[in-house]
Amino acid sequence: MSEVETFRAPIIARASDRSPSSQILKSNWEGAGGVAGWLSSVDHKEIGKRYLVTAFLFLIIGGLEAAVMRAQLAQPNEHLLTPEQYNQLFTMHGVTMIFLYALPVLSGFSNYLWPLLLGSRDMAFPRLNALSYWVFLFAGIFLYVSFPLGKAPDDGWFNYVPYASRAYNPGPNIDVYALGMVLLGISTTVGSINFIVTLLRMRAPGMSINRVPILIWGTLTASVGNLFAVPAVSLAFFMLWMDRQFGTHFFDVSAGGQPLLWQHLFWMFGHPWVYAIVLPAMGIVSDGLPTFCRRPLVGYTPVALATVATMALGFGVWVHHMFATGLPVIAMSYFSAASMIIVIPSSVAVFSWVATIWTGRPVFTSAFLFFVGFVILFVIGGVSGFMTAAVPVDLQLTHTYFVVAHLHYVIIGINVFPVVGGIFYWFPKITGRLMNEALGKWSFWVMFIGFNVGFFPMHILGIAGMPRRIYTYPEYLGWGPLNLIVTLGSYLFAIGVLLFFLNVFVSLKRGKRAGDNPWDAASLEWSTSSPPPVYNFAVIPTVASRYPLWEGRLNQSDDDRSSMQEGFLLDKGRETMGTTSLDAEPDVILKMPPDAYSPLVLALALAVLFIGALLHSWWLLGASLVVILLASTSWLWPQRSLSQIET
Amino acid sequence: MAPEDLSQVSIKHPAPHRHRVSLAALFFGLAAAPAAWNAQLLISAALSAHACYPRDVPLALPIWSGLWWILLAIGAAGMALAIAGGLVSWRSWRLTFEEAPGSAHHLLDLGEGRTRFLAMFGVLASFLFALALLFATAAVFVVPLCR
Repeated sequence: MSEVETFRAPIIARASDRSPSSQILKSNWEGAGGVAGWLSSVDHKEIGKRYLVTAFLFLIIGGLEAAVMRAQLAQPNEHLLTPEQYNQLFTMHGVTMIFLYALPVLSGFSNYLWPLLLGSRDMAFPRLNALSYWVFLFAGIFLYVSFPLGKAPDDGWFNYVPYASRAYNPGPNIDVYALGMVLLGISTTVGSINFIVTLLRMRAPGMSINRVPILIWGTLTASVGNLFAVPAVSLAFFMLWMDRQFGTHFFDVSAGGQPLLWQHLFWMFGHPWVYAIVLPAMGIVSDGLPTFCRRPLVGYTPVALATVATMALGFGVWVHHMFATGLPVIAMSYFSAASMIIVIPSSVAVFSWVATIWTGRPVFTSAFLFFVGFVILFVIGGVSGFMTAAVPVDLQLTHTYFVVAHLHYVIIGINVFPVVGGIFYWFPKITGRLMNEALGKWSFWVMFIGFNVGFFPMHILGIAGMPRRIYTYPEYLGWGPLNLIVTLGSYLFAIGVLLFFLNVFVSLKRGKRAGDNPWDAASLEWSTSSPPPVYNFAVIPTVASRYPLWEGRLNQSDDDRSSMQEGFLLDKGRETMGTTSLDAEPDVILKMPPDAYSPLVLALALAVLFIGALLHSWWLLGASLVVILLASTSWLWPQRSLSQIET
Repeated sequence: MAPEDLSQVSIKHPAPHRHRVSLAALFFGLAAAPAAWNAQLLISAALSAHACYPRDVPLALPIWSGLWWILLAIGAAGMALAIAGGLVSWRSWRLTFEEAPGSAHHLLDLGEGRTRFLAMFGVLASFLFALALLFATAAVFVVPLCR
């Protein structure tokens, strides 16, 4: 690596988006434009927007599947769907919402926002970022490839053996799921690595570890969690595919295999994943709520700790999904205890949000309403989760609609509501326009009322004994009226979501111009233009506190203030500042790569490799391996512009 | 550019007391209690599951008569490690609590002072995971071992 380029003394200058130096930065960072530029872009903002749009498309698909299922269940003895169709629908609904919507939408926020929140010009590995998106997209398409043929995955999102084994499920349904999940795992893994390294290396000078926003803590925690959790499920699905296609017996009890091994491996992944899809969303609220309460978050330090502790404890609770499997009681009690203790960090966060609202001066915007709605739903979902942490209670509730109610309060309450609130909050930054507030409030109330009308009665249905995953039920059981209410409520919720999407489309064209900081918020992304320029910051900001844009009102001393206008210029190519891990001291000038096709080609080749494996087409698999090798070589080939060749 | 150089930009260092406490002490304070809890969970659950369900048939009594004492000892060892982590973090806190203006309350709210932030992180984490250890260890007193 060239010492001169990466360790030169950088120029400190005063500049803004209107300075002449910004034109140089723009030409350094701008892509090719057109289709070629679109396909090769490694800009984190572009990738973030693609993640958001794709995830919302999957949300719509998953929502439509739910709507059909609710029509089927609205009355007893309905025959809109066959049992086989219903199995595929509830499986694809779960797979879509949990894997193709819930985490990717948060990756969208984080990809778009991280460098802006951290005061950097891009993520640590921009090409890896693009690869992560393309692989996610192709994995999503892969998982849906057999849906039109009526052969979609059909064993529920947790895919228990032995029903998922070939003897009971001989079609391609489960193979598509197994291989699709391994492919998706690649996207999640590389994305997680990128977030972790970005946090450790790319923070603005002065942004020590105790000054990062809670969204950063949430996504960091989720990313570290994913690195430990995803291998378990990728391995499990690979072993299942081997069982099904090559006669291995990992899960075949007749040959000495262990069906329970599937459940262990799946839930070692599955429960941390639940935290991965809620902790960044909780971070959105922790960072957005203070803006609308006109005060800093109450208890930044314990909330940051609660975020990390929740994930750490989350790795010790997986057996609470297996309480009905007959494990010895003392062994289960350890997991029961951990599942109960997790209420402490969760409560710390709740009390922090409530105290922030209580001691602040709330501004009742649409975003604020969604954040408050989230707090209420979080408490309800948390309490029902706490109930199932107790072994005797769980034995009564497992596999009933109570669990369906709980998981929807968690996933919709703790993911969808903060996400929609987050869109209202950051839409002005992303597009330069404000969303319509009147329509926003309508969408909140319709979604909030619809959600509770639709999903709260599921608790009662579960206690009344209605099992989950049944395609119909007889009239004499008396579940009809409540199921009709559930269906009507969930349709009302869907109307609220439609109002939100309508608001997005209308506001994109007709929304009021936002300006740089329409909410008078405190974090770095609001110091740059809306939408941000391609290079993010005219100079690398310097950070002196947790709330750099509120330092005046928080009585920060005059001789120690954050600076947005004066800092490292770094205009010799695509450059940003590398800083030390704990205290963000300037360390090295990082040379960032240009746009490239290699991530797209590599992702395509990976997708073809998995298609080859699915079809047992070994020549296709071999050919894709060759392309993977070539694309990787092109990617890793040393470049003078990145200081990877000695000059 | 020299590493650890914030003098080029006009802000104070976020961790002026960083030399008072070693990184190893901060790390031990942060990680000891969570690691102890995790070790207790994995070892105790695996041991008790095997002792009560060694092969194809669940047993009414564990295959090791001393299982109860073993589980208690694991809990006690974990608790000792968690307390050690808490004490080390507390010491780090006492050495650095004046790193930034304001009291502990100020630190909890705004997080200023990186060294004292990590020390406080360790104190709180040790308390939480010690509680988790206590809660899990209490199971041996109230839950039958196998059935």
